[in-house]
Amino acid sequence: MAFEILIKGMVCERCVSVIKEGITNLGYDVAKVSLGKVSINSDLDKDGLKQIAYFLSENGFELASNRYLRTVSQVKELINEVFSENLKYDSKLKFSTLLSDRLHMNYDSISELFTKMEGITLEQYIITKRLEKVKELLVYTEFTLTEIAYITGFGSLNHLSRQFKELTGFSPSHFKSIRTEKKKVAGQAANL
Amino acid sequence: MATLYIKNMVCNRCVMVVRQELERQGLHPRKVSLGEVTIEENELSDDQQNKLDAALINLGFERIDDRKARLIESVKNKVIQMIHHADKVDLRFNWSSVLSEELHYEYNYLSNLFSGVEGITLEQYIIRQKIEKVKELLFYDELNLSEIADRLGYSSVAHLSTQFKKVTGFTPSEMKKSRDIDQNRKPLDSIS
Repeated sequence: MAFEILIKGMVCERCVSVIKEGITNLGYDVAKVSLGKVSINSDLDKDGLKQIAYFLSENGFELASNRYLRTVSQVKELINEVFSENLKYDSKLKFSTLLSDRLHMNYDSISELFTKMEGITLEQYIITKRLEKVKELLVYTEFTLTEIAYITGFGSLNHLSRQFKELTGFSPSHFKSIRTEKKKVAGQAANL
Repeated sequence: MATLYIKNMVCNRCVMVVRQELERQGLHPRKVSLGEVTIEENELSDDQQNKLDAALINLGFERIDDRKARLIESVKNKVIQMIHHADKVDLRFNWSSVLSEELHYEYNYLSNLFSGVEGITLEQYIIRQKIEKVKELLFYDELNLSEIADRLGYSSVAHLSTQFKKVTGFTPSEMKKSRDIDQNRKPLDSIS
């Protein structure tokens, strides 16, 4: 995947050669450098971008607000919004449609970018967020597991249980009993 | 101790590159600023001079001896300093008094010398440097046009836009929309 990085403070040919040399030394395949912009042919993740930002500030440049990072944080915000306190999830919601509508990008590019930057797939991230919500509902509400599966968009109880077990090692009901027990113990401790 | 005058230095990378080159040639720079270098050595041998001149030209610089050429370079350095490396150009900023105070020459003399040698008027040079800064800020996509106008001491967005169109042939928003940094930005030392 090719990336374009916008850089502040570049004003002359010396800036171009300092940038070219520096970014190449960091191990990237630099395709083109112009005043204010570097195009690289290598992969780039969040840590790489941090490293580049550090090199830039050392040399008196600055990373311009980065649209890759901006997109990733917008994606996270939208997903968090859906699973927020007043759950906006409805069974017809499709994350792919939501994200591509709101960010005006096609879903495949969003997903590819997210994976490159974050090191986990977008699907994986959404599942993690979904399961966090399941845990919260399990412990703090009286909803049954079937209801929770429906509310959080798992479709079926079966599906929820399987993914829950895969990610936490527990079955949902076991998780609930452990947590309830823990709350009880904590409550008793507070009473002593 | 000797002073060298160098053409085309426009930013801190130029300072860095010039310093590195002097040290690489075994010289001892005491102070390097835009356009002016002080070295510990009292004078350079012909061989040293030739080597230095060749290296500087390779980097896009040029050593200047001529008094008038030096003065013109100082004018350019000052203009670049005020427009590109200061926080803000004040609306009431008066170029003629600032330049004549800093360089200890009548403004008329500076202005006549400049246009005679450079082929554009000093006023026009200042305008082009400002427009170049406007382009840079436009592509960063952080300030809107009225903030940019304010940053560069234009009395209104309309004034900025008219001047921008005259110099570049495009309106600011046309250029911003093109997202074509490669075609549109120029090194500061090539502005004439």
